[in-house]
Formats: sequence, C-alpha cells, structure tokens
Amino acid sequence: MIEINNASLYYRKANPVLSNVSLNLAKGHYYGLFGKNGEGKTSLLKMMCGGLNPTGGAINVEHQNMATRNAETFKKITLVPEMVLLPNVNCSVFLKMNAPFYPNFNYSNFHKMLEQFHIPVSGKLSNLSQGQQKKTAIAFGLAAKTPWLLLDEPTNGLDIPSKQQFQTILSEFFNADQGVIISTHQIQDIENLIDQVLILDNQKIVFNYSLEEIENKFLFETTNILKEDHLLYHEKQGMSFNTLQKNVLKIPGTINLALLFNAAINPSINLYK
Amino acid sequence: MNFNNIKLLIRRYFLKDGFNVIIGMTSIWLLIIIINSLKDQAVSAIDLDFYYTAMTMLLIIGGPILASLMFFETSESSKGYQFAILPVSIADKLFSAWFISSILYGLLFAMYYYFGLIIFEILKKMGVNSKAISYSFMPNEMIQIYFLTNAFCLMGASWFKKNPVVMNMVFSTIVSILFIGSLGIIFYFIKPSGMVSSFTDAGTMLSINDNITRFTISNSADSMLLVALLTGFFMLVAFYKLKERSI
Repeated sequence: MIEINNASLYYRKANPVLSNVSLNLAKGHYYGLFGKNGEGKTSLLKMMCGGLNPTGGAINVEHQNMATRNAETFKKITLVPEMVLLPNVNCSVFLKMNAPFYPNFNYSNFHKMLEQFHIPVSGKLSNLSQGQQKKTAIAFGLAAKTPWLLLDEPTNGLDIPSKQQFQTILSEFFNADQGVIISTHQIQDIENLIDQVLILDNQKIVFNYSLEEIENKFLFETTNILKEDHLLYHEKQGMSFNTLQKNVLKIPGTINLALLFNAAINPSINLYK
Repeated sequence: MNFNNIKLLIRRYFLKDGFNVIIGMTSIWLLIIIINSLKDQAVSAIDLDFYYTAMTMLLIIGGPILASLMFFETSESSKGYQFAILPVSIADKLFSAWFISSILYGLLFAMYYYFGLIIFEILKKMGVNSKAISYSFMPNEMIQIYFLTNAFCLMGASWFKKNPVVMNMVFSTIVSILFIGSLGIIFYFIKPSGMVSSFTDAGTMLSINDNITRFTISNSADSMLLVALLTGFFMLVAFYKLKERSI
C-alpha cells in the first residue's frame, strides 16, 4: 500500500510543484499516472521512492515513511527514471554491483527479459543506445521484485516493436502481489496495460478511477449530432464529435483515455459530480 | 549500520571505479619514481626528500579529491538514481564512502609508498647514491590533516552536487580565510602589549603565549581530540545533507 497524505512540494512557496496530494494505492494494480508536461509526475514518483523529500505531508510505502530513507523503506520500491545512463561496465558487472542489494532479485528473469528485448549482454552498457539502456533498466527494475515498481515515461525512446515488447514483458513478469505505477503523457502506449487511471493537473490528483468504474460511469461515443442529454465533454474530430457522457444506462463500451484526460484537465468540467 | 550493506557498497565502488583509481594512482606513483630517478641523474643520487614531498602531496591531495567525488554519481538522476535508491541506509553509504576514501585510500597509499622505498633500497644496493634527508616527515600530523580534510571533503561531497572538487576547494579556502581572520581578530583584542606570539606551521601547530592566556594547540592529545571532534562534526553534517539530497 502506498499512502500519500497531503504531500506538497515547492522550491518557492509562490510556485508549488505539488500541493496537498492525497492518494491510497493498493498492490495488484497497474496505475497509469497521466498529466501534462511539467505537472509534477516525475516529482511525485521521486517522492514515492524516497529520492525527493516532500516539503509538506508524508508518503508511506508499506507503512514506512519514505522520508526516513532507511534501508527497509528502499527495499519496498524501485524506480526507472525517464532518462537512464548506465555505467561503463558490462552486464555481469552491473548485476554484481546492484543486484545483491535486493534480496528477491531474480537473475534468470533478468536474463530472459534482456533476451526478449534483444539486448546484447557482452559489451559495455554505456555503449548501448538510449532505448537499450532504458530497457536494461526496466528489466533490472522488474527483476528486483520489489513490492512497488515506478516507471517514469517508460516508452519514451523505445521503438515501436519495443513498446509492444514492453507491455508483454510487464504483464509476463509482474506478479499480483506487486504494484506498478507508470507515469506517461503517451496514453496510447499503455492503455491496454493499466487498470487504474490517475490524472495529475494543477498540482493535484484530479481523477482517480479504475477502468471498471470509468466504464460504469462514463460512455464514450463518436457521433455526428451532439445531444446535450448526459453530455459531459466533447471534441470535434473532422465532421463528427468524440463525446464523453454519463453512462446512465450502463452500456458497456470502449474507453477513450485521451478524451477522458482532456475532460479531466478541463477546469469547467467536474467528472466526480 | 549494516555490515553486509557496507561490504556490498565497498564492493560496488570497486567494481565501478576501483580500477580507474588504481590506474590513476599507479600512474602518478610511477611518475614520481621516474622523475625522482631522472632528476639528479648528473650526480647519480636518489632524492628521498623529493619522494617524501611528492608522496605527501599524493596523500593530502589525492584523498580529499577521492572523498569529494564519492557521491558524484548522484549529481544527475539519470546516472545516480540506482545508487540513490539502493536499499541501504544513509549511514551505510556515508561510512562506506569514508572507509573507501580515508582508510582504503590510505592503505593503498602506504603500499605504494613503501614499495617505492623498497625500489630505492634496491637501487642503493646497486650502487646508486642517496641524498641526505632534510625533510622531516611527521606521520602523526599528516594523518590528522588527512583525516580532517577527508571528512571535510566528504561533507562537501554530500553538499555540492555539481563540481564537488572545485566547490570543496573554494569552500575550504573561504573557511580557512574566515578561520584565520577570526583568530586574528580574537587575538588582536585579547593580546596585551608585549605579548609574544608565534605561529608555527599554520594549520597544524599554533601556540600563543602570554602572561594572561596560554592557549596551545600542538601535536598532542589536544589536537587529536580537536581533529576527532571536527571530523565527527563534518560527518554529522554530511549525514544530514545526504538525507536531504534529492535525485
């Protein structure tokens, strides 16, 4: 369980990055954390993994306050940042350097993942491309088997086949007793993977629903004529409209995450009503 | 602190940078030996004074440089995230950094130092002359300065994310100027006319005598205690700065 209680972060009081964010996240889920650029997604992930102390409030991971930064708290969580630059060593030395710190590290899974990602294990890691270094870091994060894994923009810098591989690997190697939080602004890359949607806007979490709840509450339709009944938000696309409506009849449908995101960050719309 | 974590952290450092440190130190040591051998070729003599001075510089400068770079990995989150979120405590990280930069570097230095002396001894037996030694090697003072500056630089390493070596040099210069300036002001006001004061080897030996105050910091238990207290203070500051450090 990750409990975020009124967590705030500011470098200057007048210009907060995050303000009074409160969230409870349970294991066994894939959380998608969405937000515009510069909304504080990376800062929130860094705060969750203990890499950045909140200015106010507290973040507890598995009942341990991350600000204490003791060894036990770091055993609960791993982060793969957006930009990864691995050291100038080969893969086996990299494993010897870092893997022994994680008691549940699965070496065989790590090698399987590298194989699936087509990462060469011989040469120096720093000579790999940015995408390959990132895939190695993702493989390490998954093999570490910590209760929580945080991925910051994991598909940035990956080619199209690798984005598909990433989804396959994540679902194959992640256990139900773990939790994963994927921060991205590329919704389409992870929309088949996640089961919980978190939207960060204006320094706060403005939306927090499971896909099941979204399906029950909202109806996404493309129509030529706008009907005002139950309409929450719409966007014009060519000659038609993409609409977000209240799902009063509980009709099952396909979720349009991009439309939902745009509606959630629109200040004139309150999706919780 | 967890002994196993400290062991793993030291091993991690060696796997990552140990080879470079050893190569760098061997190169400098070889350079010192070569210069020493070529310097007085005309008189065909080994200049032990030069060797002691150069090796002292290697200890007093090399150790602090290494200490300054101990947390440089975390200057960028793309490079340092792995180290920053390793499941070890801040005390484990700090102790292992101190152990590597102060104890292991010191032992490595001692190894090279005595190995050099063995080479000179062999050269002497081969008939090469040795110049008389005028340099007074003071191991106690040297060790105290070494540990103190290393702890100071570790504090700087945890404080400054960018350019820690340069920043430590600037910071230590400012602190030294302030320290000497403050001492000067204090002694100016407390010194009565006719007082005899002498500063001998500033930084290690300072004695001010007068008929009112007798304040002596010398190479004794007092100075060791002062060094231990200052080292402890620097390490404490380093601990809290590391605890706040963000990636």
